[in-house]
Amino acid sequence: MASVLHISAAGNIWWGKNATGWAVLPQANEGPVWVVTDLTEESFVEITVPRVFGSDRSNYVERQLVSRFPESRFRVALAAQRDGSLMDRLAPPVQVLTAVEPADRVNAALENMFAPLAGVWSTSLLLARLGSKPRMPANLLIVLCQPSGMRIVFMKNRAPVLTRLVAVVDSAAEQAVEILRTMRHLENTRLIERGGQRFAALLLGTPEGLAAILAKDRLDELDPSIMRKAKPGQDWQQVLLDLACKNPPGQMAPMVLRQSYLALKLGRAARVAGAVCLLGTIAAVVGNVGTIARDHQARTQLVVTVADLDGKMTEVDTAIQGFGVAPELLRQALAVDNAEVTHAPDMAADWVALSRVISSVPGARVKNLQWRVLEASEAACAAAGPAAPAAEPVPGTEAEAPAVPTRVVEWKVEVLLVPDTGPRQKLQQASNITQQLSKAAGLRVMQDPARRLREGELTAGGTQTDAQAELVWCVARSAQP
Amino acid sequence: MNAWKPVLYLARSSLWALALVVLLCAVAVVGLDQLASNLKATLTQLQANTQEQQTQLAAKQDDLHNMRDHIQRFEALRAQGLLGTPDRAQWVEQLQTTYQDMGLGGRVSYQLQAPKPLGQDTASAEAAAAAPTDPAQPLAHDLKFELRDVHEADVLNLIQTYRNQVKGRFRVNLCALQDPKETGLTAQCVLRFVTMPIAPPTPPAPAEGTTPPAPAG
Repeated sequence: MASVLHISAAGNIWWGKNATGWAVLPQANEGPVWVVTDLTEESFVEITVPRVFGSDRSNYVERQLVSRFPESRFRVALAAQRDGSLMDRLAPPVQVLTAVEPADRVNAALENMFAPLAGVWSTSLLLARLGSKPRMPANLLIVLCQPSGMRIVFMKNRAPVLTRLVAVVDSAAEQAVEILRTMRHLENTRLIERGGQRFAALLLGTPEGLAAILAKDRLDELDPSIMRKAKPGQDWQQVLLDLACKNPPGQMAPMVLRQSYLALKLGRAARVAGAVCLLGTIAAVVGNVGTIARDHQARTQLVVTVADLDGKMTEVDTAIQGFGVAPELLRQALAVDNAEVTHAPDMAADWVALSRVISSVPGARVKNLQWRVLEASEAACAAAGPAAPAAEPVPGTEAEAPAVPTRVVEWKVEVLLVPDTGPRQKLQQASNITQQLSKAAGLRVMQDPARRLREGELTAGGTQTDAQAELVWCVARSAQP
Repeated sequence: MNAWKPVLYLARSSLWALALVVLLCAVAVVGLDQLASNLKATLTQLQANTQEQQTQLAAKQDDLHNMRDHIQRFEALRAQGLLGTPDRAQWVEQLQTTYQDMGLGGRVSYQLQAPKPLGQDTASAEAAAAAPTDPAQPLAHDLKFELRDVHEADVLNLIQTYRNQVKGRFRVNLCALQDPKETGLTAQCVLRFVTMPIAPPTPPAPAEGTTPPAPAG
C-alpha cells in the first residue's frame, strides 16, 4: 500500500491508500514513500538558455539551478516547451526551474525516515501538470483551496511562471481579493498585459460565488468537466496524491536520497526481466524438446527400417547368388539374343511372300535374288533412290530387354518373263509385280522397273538378255521385332 | 553514472540473478537448438540413406524377379552356346554334317570369318581390331557358305536343320540366289553367330543347411 508524506504549513501528515481511498495514517506503511509538499517556499523561475545542445545545455541548466537555488537540494528543471521553429524545438530558448527553498522543513521530515524515498513533488508542480494538458488553455490561472491554505498557480503558454500559497481565508470575496492581487502582480511584473486580456481560471475546491466575482475582473471560470476526474465535492488533494504516486516528471529529490527506492525498482525490474526470460526460454525449450523427441523417435524408426532393409537386401542377395548368375549378365544375354537372333528378320517368310508375288505372273521366274539384313549405318537400295527409313529402336517388348533395333531387310530381285513378251504386256506384268509388292505389309519398293518402262525409254531390237536385265526390283522392309 | 553506482550496488543480488538466469537461458536455448540441429541433420542423412537403400532393394528385387522369370531361358541360351568360349570348329563341322545328311548334291564351301565386336560394320571392325576391346563385349562371327545346284527349299531346309543341330545362336544375315539352271541355283549365304565371351560361371557353394532357390516359371 502506497504511503505519502504530505508536508504543509499544517504539519506532516501520512496518507495511505486502501481499497476505499486515501486515509490519514499514524505512521508510514512498509514500502516506498512519496513526498508531496505544499509550502510557501515553492517557486518557479523562468530562465533564458542560449543556443547550446546536449551536455552543454544540461550543464548550463544545472549551473543555473545551483545558482538560483543554492540552499536547497530539492530543485529541478522542468521539461522545456518544444514548439515553434526547428531551432526552438532543438534548443528551447527558455526553461522553467522549480525548487523548495529553503528546504529545512523537507529535510527535517526526511531526517528520521528510513523507508525508501520514491521522490519529492511540490503541489505547485502537480497543479502545473494538471494545467498543462493539451485540452487546457495556454494561459491559465489555477486556484486550489485546502484547509491549510489557498494555492494559486499561473500558467503562461503552458509553463508555470508563478505560484503562491495564501493563508486560509473563508469567504469568496476575500479569496477573490488575493487572486486579483496576484493578477495585479503579474501585470506589474509584465508577465501579462495590463487590463487587455481575459484569462481562464481553474477553480478547484473553491467556495461558491468566487467565479462570479472573478468574472467581473476578466477571469472566466473554466468548466470543471474539462478535468476528467472532476466530480461534485471532489477532494482535489487526493487527486494530487494519486498523481504523485504515478511518479510524474518534476521530482525534486536528489538521487542520493532515492538510492534505496531506485535499487528496489531496479531489483524488481530485474526479477521481472528474469521471469520473462525464463518463461521465454521455457517456451523455446518446450518447442525444441518436442522437436527433439519427435526427431529421436523418427530416427529410431529409421534405424529399425534400415536394419529391416539390410535384412531384406541380404535375403535378396542370397537368393540372387543362388542362381549362380550375375543379374547384369542375364539381362545382357537376353538383350543380345533378343536383338540379334530371336527378333531377327525371317528370311523364309520373305521368300514365301516373294514366291507368291512372282507366281501371280504366268511364266515369270526369279533369275537372281539377294536377301540381306542391313547394318544400322547402311541405307537400303542406295543406288536406287532415297534411303529406306533409318533403323530406329523400338521399345522392348520384355521388361528385361532394352530397346530392340528395327532392322531393315533389302531385297534385290531380278525377274525373267516369258520370252517374246510384248512391251505393253511386259509393262502390265511388271506393274502387277510392283503393285503386289507394295501391298505387302512393311514393304517399300525403292527401285521399280515398271516405272521406267512406263515413263523412260523403250528399246527394241536388242538381245533378249539385255531387255530382261532391266526387270530388277529393290525392296526394303523394316522388320518389326 | 557515478550516481547510479550505489543503486546498482544495492540491487546487485537481483542483477546477478538476472545475469545468471539470462546466461542459463541462453545456454539452454543455444544448446538445445544445436542439439536439435544436429539431430535434424542426422535424421536427414538417415532418411537419405534409407531412401537409397529402398531404391537398391527395389532394384535387387527387380533383378531377382527378372532372374526367376528368365533363368530357364538363360540356361537354354547357355546350353545353345551363346555364352562362353565359342566352339567355332563345331559350327563348320556341323555345317558339313548337315549338308551331307540332307543328301544334297555337289559340295559346300564355307568361310568362317574372325570374330568382330557386335554392332560394328566391316570398316569400323578393322579400326577396332587395333584398339583394345572389352573382353565381355558380344562378338559376331560371320559364316559364309556357298551351295551349288540347289533349290530355294533346300537352302531353307538346310538352314533350319543346321539351326537345330549346331551349338550356337545365329541369324541369317544374307542369302543370294543366282544362276538359275536346270539343275538348280547357286546359293551364297552368310550366317551371323553371336557369342558372349565370358568366363564360365562358378556357382557359389551353398551354405550349410540351405538350398538354393528353385527358379520360378
